Amino acid sequence: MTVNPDRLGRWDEFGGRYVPETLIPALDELEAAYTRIRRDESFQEELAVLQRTYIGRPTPLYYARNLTRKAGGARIYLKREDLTHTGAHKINNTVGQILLASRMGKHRVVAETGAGQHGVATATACALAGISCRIYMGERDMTRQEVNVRKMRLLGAEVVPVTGGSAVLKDAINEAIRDWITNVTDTFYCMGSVVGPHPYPLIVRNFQAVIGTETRSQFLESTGRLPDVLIACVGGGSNAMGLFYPFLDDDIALIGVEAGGTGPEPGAHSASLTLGRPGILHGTRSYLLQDGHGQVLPADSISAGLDYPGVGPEHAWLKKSGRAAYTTVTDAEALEAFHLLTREEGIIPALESSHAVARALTVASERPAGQAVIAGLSGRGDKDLDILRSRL
Amino acid sequence: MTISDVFNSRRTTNEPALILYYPAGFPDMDTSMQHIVTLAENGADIIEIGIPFSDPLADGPVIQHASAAALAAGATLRAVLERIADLALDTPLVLMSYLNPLESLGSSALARTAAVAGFSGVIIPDLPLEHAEHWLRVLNGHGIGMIFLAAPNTAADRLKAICARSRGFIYAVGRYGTTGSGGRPTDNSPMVSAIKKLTDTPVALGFGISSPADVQSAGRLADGVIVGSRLVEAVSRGEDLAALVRSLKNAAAGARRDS
Repeated sequence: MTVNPDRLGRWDEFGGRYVPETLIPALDELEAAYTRIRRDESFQEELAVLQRTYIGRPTPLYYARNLTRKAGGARIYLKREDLTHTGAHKINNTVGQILLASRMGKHRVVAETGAGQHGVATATACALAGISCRIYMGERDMTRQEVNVRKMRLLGAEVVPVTGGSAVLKDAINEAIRDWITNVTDTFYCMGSVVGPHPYPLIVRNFQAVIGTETRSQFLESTGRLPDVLIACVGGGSNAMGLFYPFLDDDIALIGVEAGGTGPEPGAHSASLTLGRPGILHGTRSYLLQDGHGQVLPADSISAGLDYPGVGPEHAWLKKSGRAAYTTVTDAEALEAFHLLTREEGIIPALESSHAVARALTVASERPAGQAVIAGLSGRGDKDLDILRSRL
Repeated sequence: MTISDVFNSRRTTNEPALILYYPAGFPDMDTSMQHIVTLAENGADIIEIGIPFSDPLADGPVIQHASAAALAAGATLRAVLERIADLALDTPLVLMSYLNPLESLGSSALARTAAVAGFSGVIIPDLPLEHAEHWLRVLNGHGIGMIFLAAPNTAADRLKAICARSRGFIYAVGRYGTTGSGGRPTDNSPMVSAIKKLTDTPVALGFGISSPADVQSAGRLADGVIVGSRLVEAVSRGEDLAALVRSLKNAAAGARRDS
C-alpha cells in the first residue's frame, strides 16, 4: 500500500501542487519546515504535552452498548473526538500547524472555515500562541453556524464574511487563498482538512493520525485484536484520514461516508467520491463535483462541515486502489442517527459525525455479533441545535 | 503576425507591446466578441482571451465578477473557441484559462481547436512547471507555446526553468496579490532584469496595471505590459472602451520617449 505521496505530492495521479506561481515558494518553505519538525524532538514533545494537557487526549474509545443492541449485530464503538477541547477533531490539526507556524516565525495566520469548527480551533490555537488570525467564512455558513462565529470573535479572530459563489466553504477557501497570495511573505495558511496543495494533505493527515493511533492501541488493549470495520464521515476527509491512516496496512474494512444531502441530483449533495469525477480545485487533483465543462458545482448538505465539492487526494487514491469504500448517507438518515445516538447513549453528535453513525448502524446490523465496528465521532452537536430547531 | 513578430516590431519602435486581457462571455458572448474586436482595432498588440471559471483563485473581484457573469450567461470553452475562430483576427491571441475547464475538454481537443481558432499561446495560472510536461508536449505539438508566470518571490533556479520553457513571452506577475488593483505593489526591476539575464524571450508585466501612467512605468521596464481588470471595469461602467484602449496605446508608445 502506497501511504506517502511522491516527490510532487501525488498519490498516483491525485494530489500535487496546482497553484499560482506566487505560492510555490511558500509551499517549498512549508515543506522544508515541516520536514524539520517531524524529526525535531522538542517539537514533538511540545505537541505531545499540548495533546495531553490542552486538547484532552487520549480521547476515549467508547463501547456503545445501547446502539449495538438497536443495530442487532456487530459491536459498535465510538472514537470520542467530540470530547476534545473545542469539541471536534479539528483542534488536533490546528495546534500542530500553529506550533509549526510559530517555529517558522510567522506572525499572521489565515484560514477558511465551513461549519466553524476549524475556525474555532484555529482561533483557539492562535490565542494560545499569541498569533493574530483572520478566518474566512461563507456568509451562508455564518448564518447557520452563528455560535461559532461568536466564539471565534471572542477568541480574538477576525471573521471575514465571504459573499462570492454560493457563500459556503469552497468560496471561503478561494478567498483565504487570495489573502495568502497577497500576504505570502509573512502569513501562514492553516488548512483545515486533507485538501489543498502539497504538503497540506500530508501535514493534516499526520497531525490527525493521532486519532487512529490511539484507536488502534485502545482497541488492541481492551480486546487483544483489531476491529473489523472503521467508519468515518468525509467532507474534505481529515477525521477519516486520521482514523484510517494507522490501519492502512491491516486487513480491515475502511468506509468513508459522504453527505448524500437530499438526493443524487447535481447541487443536492456533497458526494464527490461517489458521484464526482477527477478534476482540479484548490491546488489539488482529486474527485470533484463538476459539470460537463469543468465548472465546479455547488455542494449541499445539512451539515456545513461536509458541504464541499472536492475531497482530499489521498481519499481519491484509497478509492481508486480499492483500499477504502465510499458511500453516502442522506440528510434524513443523518438526522435519524443524530436523534438515535442522543436518546440511546446520551451523546449529542455533530451532524457531520451523525453520517458516520448512520452508516455504522447499517454495517453493524449486517455483521455478526462477534465483530466490531468503530465509528469516528468527529465532533459534538451543540453547534447544530439551531439547524435542528429550524427543521422541526 | 506571430507573438515574436509583435515583440520584434515593438523593439524597432522602442515601445512595449500592449497586451490586453478580456474575459470571453462577459457580459454575454456576442458583446464580448464585439469588445475583443474593439481591442484589436484600437491598439492591442496581443489579446489574451480569458475563459470563465467557477473558482478563479488568482483573480481579484473585477475578473471574478466577470467570470461569474459569463458563466451565468452560458459561456463555455467550446463556444468561446468557435466564436474566436469566426472573428479571424490578425492580432496574435493567447488563451488564459484555469486548468480544470481545459482538462474537461481534453488536452488534444483543446490544442487542436485552439490552433484552428488562431491561438498561439496558452496561459494556465494554476499549472506550475512541475505538472506541465503533458500540456507542454501536446500544445507544442500543435504549434502553441505555453506562457509561464514568474512571481516576485520565484527562486533563481526555478526562474531559469520558467524562462527555458516559456514560448512567446514570460508573464511576470508584478505584485503580491490577485489580478486587479488590490494587492501589494513591489519593485519589479529586480525580477525583470533577472529574467532578461536568463533569456531573450520577451518579458511582459501584468497584475495591477490599470492607468496610462501604470503602462508607462511598466513599459519602461518590460518588453510588454498586460492590462485586464481595468478593461472589464470600463465595460461594467459603460465607459468608451475604444477611447480607453487608445489612451493605453498612447501611453505605451510614449513610455520610453520622455525617460
